[in-house]
Amino acid sequence: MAVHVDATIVRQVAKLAKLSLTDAELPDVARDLERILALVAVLDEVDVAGVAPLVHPHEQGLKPRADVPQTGLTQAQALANAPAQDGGCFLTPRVIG
Amino acid sequence: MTATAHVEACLGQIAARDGQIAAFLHVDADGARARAAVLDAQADWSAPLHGLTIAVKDNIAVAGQPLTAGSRMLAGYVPPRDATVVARLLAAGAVLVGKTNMDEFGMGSSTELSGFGPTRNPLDVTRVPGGSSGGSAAAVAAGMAWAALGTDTGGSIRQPAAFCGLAGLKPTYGRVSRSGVVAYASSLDQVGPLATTVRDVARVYAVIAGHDPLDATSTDEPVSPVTWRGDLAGLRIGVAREHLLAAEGLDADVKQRMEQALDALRTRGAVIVPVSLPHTRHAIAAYYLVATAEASANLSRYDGLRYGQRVANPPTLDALYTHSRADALGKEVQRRILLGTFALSAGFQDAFYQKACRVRRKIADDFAQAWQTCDLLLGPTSPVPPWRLGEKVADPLAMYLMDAFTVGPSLAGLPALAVPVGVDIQRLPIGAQLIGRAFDEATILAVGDVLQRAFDPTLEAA
Repeated sequence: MAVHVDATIVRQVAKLAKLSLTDAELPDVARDLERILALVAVLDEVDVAGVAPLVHPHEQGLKPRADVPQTGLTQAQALANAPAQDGGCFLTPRVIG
Repeated sequence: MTATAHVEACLGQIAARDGQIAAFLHVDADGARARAAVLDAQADWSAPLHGLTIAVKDNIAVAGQPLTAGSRMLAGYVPPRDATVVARLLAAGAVLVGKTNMDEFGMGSSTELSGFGPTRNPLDVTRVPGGSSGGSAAAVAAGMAWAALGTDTGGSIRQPAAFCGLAGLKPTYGRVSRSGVVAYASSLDQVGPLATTVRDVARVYAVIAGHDPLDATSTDEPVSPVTWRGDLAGLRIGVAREHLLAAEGLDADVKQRMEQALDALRTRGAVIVPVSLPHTRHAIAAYYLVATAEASANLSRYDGLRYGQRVANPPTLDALYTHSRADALGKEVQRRILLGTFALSAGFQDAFYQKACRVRRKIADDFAQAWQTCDLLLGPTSPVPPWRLGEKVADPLAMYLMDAFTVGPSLAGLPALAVPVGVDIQRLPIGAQLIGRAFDEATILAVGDVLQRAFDPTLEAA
């Protein structure tokens, strides 16, 4: 499926991906994505009618571990790599007025 | 040799060569020396890796040592726990010498896409070492470590092993725990060893393989020991026409070495069986859609809140997310996140992600069909020998196409082993790839050992 990728599509995808792109970056990104989508258009050759998607090699399902309490991270360990923290919590910019 | 003498030899190589090669992002010289001293005092020769040095790819957690996964996003991050594979290496008596360079989050085939600069191939410093586990391969090839751990999503252990003249194993999906390993594409990622010989690879593999309750994708299939063989009588080795005779873009020297490898195996009693993997030409497309879709979800965790880089003074929470990510993630990583997000987005998911998953099943079915007539497959790891630094880095598509033979087994979840089979006319290494049935690492390791010995008579006889 060939797709023409324009600045509008790139802006929408970047918004979903939580990536800020400048207007100057949009044409290059659009060109790159369009080239890659042209490459993957080779999949159109394959007849997949009636073929179920294979999303994971373990189709028999995943096995959860035994329901036994384990030691988790301490609060200090969990916060140790935080860019900003305060009072034992991760610090974010103000969210509500 | 004592552990201390072995560690000093490796640290000496690092001091002598790593300024140029840049295999390591972090060297733990003091820790390695201290551990070697303890191991020498204990002298526990029953430990399977007693005193042997191992370099660890920088997307695998070693408690208390920096972990970046090759990304500026994780500069300064220090994990609180060992990955399960690291804990198993330590329990087996290994000495960890440091963390190795890699393409950012595993996204690359040359180790030029690290946020901390490229690694060079120790066999020819004008060439790339392959990727994304290029630092691990370069470290072993330069004698800076006895073996290394890498991770492989679409070829990232096998291709750098081939480019640096080493053996490298991507185990069956689920065979080795990924607890403590930075996720790229969760239905594809596997941890595995790189080393000079297939037997050394098998030695590390035997330590790290096996079920881990901390990883829900790890299986409890029993791990069979390898039976080393002198001959291959009765073994059927398949050769896919799409990987050799009809392969697109295959270098003439690589092709010739594969034919010599087949001759060597035939001489030792194997039967060569022609097979077909008809969807080989679709594997790269399916792989790049599946891998990037999964990456777009996995890498959403880098939000600038709990760990990783954060831009200064973001005015809103959304600006914190979007600017931190755009600022600290490299261009190739952003490109793959955008592609994956697109492939999963409303209106396009059926045509791209779902279609890729349906083709993925056709690719897995191709292998299942091949197993009707053969026990394993042989072909090239990479279509070309190592290229020059800078040669392909500006063109992402040119780089993607280099994964033509490695992504198929990854999509099917199969084990695959890179084995050195000589050099080309410029003395650049060439690696064969042996692909096995699911959970049959023992067969490809045994055949790989025979194959490596056929090309390197200096290895001691079996």
